[in-house]
Amino acid sequence: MNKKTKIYQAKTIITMNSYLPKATHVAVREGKILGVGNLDQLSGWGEHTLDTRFADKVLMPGFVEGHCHAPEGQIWNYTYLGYFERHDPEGNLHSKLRNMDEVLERLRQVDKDMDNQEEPLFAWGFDPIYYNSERMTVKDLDSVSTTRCIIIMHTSGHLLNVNSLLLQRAGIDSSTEVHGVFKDEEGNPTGELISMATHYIIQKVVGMPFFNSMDSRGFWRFSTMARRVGVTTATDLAARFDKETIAAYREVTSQQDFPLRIVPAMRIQEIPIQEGISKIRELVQSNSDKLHFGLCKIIADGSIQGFTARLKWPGYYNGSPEGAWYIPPESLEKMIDAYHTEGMQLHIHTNGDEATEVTIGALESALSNNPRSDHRHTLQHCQMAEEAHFRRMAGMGICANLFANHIFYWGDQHMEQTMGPDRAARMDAAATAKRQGVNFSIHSDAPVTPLGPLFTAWCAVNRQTASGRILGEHEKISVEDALRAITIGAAYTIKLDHLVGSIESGKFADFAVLEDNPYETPPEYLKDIGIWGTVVSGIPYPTE
Amino acid sequence: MPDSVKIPVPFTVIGGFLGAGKTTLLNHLLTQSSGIRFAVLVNDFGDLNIDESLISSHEGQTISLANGCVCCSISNDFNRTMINLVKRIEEFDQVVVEASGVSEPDRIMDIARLDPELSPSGIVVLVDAAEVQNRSTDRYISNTVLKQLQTAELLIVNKIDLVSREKLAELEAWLEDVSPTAVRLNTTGGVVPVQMIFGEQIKGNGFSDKSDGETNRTEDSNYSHHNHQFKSLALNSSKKLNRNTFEIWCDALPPSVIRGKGILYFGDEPGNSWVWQKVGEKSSIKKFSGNSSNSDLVLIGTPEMPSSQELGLPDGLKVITEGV
Repeated sequence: MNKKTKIYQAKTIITMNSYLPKATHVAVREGKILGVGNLDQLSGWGEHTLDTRFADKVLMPGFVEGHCHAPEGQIWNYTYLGYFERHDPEGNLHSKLRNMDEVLERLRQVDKDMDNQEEPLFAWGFDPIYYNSERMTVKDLDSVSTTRCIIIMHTSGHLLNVNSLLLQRAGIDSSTEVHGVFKDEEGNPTGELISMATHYIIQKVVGMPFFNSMDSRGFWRFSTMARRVGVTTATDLAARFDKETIAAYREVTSQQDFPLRIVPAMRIQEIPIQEGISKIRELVQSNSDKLHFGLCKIIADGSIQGFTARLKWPGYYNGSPEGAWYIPPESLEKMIDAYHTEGMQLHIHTNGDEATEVTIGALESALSNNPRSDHRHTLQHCQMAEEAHFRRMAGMGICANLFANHIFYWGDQHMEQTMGPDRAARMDAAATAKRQGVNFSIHSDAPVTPLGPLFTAWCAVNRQTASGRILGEHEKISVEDALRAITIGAAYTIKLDHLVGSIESGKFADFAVLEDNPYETPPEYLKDIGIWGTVVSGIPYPTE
Repeated sequence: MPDSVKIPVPFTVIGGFLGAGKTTLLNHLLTQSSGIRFAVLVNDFGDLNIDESLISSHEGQTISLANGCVCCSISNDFNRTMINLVKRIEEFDQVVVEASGVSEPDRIMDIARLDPELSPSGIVVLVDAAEVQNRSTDRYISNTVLKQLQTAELLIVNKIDLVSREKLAELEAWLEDVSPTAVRLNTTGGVVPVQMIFGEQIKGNGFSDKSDGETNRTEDSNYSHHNHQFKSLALNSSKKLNRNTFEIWCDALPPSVIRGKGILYFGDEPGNSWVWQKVGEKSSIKKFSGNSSNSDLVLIGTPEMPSSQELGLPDGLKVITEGV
């Protein structure tokens, strides 16, 4: 660790530190922030070198992504088929695919570039909701290849499209009678598959590498992605805690030049309670500056656009049934109580308002049984919470991490199909959270939507849908509140606000290096601010 | 049958909401397996209460028992756990999957409908006699509970000692209404004979849970458990069967035949045999490649099950054993 003092000069430093919001210089020693202020003040620390490379840049605390998944780094091993353009970790732009022909054309191109005619082709990010729900069929995929298996995973993760060759190998034909095999008017499978069992047989026949354990290369790509968007601390919020993944976490985070702090959450609902608690306790022992075990994740319900979130009356706007529990409410309550009692911090995925309500109730009873200060249990997504829910959350000290990116990516569908205009307007209600006094953050859930806290902040500030509509004028928040949410606000929800999330003496020297000042940029251009790269533990990591 | 032929392994799903008695039943299967090598996939090892002395190894998500059974924790990736298990499927006679309290057992059974190495062998749903009707109107879980009941093939109505006779009659009428196609077995203590669930032929004592204290309450017979007396009938044919005749016979079997299973040879597709599974009113026939020209099957029923003579047998089938 570098014991010499370096002072970075910047055009402006936005500290997110309430007693000193703005500065021009920050001094760094041993990977930590020595002080922040102007050159004169910082020179008092003695001998130093002045680094002016950021003299025309704006420094912010390194962004903290409170809900994303490290597979964002691995999924780019496969072909991206999204409706929106998207950058891969290395910064290559994958252009938008505006109709089915463009989707198929990209697949044909990838097919042509593959050497082995029998190697399977995996692709992801496809979502027919943007193509007027035009379905992809085996005919489409057979026009790409009849010699290799093709597997397309939809954005939701619940649907697959495959070609005839794979259907045949999986033994799925017109006589197959199981849930989730879509068939055409003649009774032949269309290649669209939606159930666990159909995915089982596909995985058995050809594999499903999207869900493989993370390796160190995947984590490196994840960190490369993070630095492109200014993130210096990222959660991995439902990690597979198998031996390979844990070894990979430790390996990459022990490298001095690994530019990311990782905060993995263990998915606890399928593990016996005592075993889960012991495992977390054991893992926490190996925490280091860049690796922070301790978070526990529970998934209470499904997704809103997948119509599997648990909704209260009156349910889905289009009349779909009321959604699915991923854990019985009774078990949820028992699990919350046990982990809470043992002093653990819980991050609970609740999308629908009913799931949120049941979870708040479970937390309330756990807190009555064993009162505990500063627990910071956090509702993740918490997309449909009502004002009354936020009031209860504030009363109990429960945090919210809201899925602001949803407003852009699925806001139109929420207005038209899932929620209807009025309830859609209160989705991801950051302004209500603030008004009711709930500590909140906002997130991307990458790879579900792209990692990029400035984009996420833009969503919370502008609440604009993909088609340009405004979803809930009164839930817009200020640029300052949004910047807080992606820095110290997020750090608070993962109990790392004493180490990261603001630029103040004693914290890690982690910065996001911006080309422009977000306060001087029109709010509608917040997402377009250039990012030079990051600084982690005092070491600069340029994007290029 | 040549060793190289892989007969699809029976796959049974055990469902039911929390507290219905799934774990008690699974414990029973693993430790009193009557010589059947079970592979049991459970949601939570923690609830199982397996005697340490029976465990031959415990590695990560898998516990192996000295009796040939294994128990795998589903952990957070059901499909992966299942695929790994099927890689060593020849080590097992029967796969049993515990459905989580919120999953639909029928959707899990689809796995066996799709995988040629497995054959569907019963959706068994446990019901807590005292609780099920309350749960079916619970604002959060009513649909989940009703769906489990509706797709059940065999309903094990457990804890009947906790309800009055009148209440039980009312419950049975209600279940008949909710789940008209399922066969029902009433019990206490969550345990029914292994044969009733899996259609295995009765061997020796029929079921080997004499260590279960409650068994002492049964009156006299080795073949009874609580109020479960049952009959079995084993049949064989060395000639090919007529598929049409067999299916008509199968469909006409009375409701007292709870369970049936067998390997059938119809002869219309040389080189292929069929696995037959019947649970209550539902039956399935699944093809696999095998060179046998033998058929072997077994029926398990209540004491009311007619004798082989009364049933009448399709041409070619002969009685091997007929047990009371």
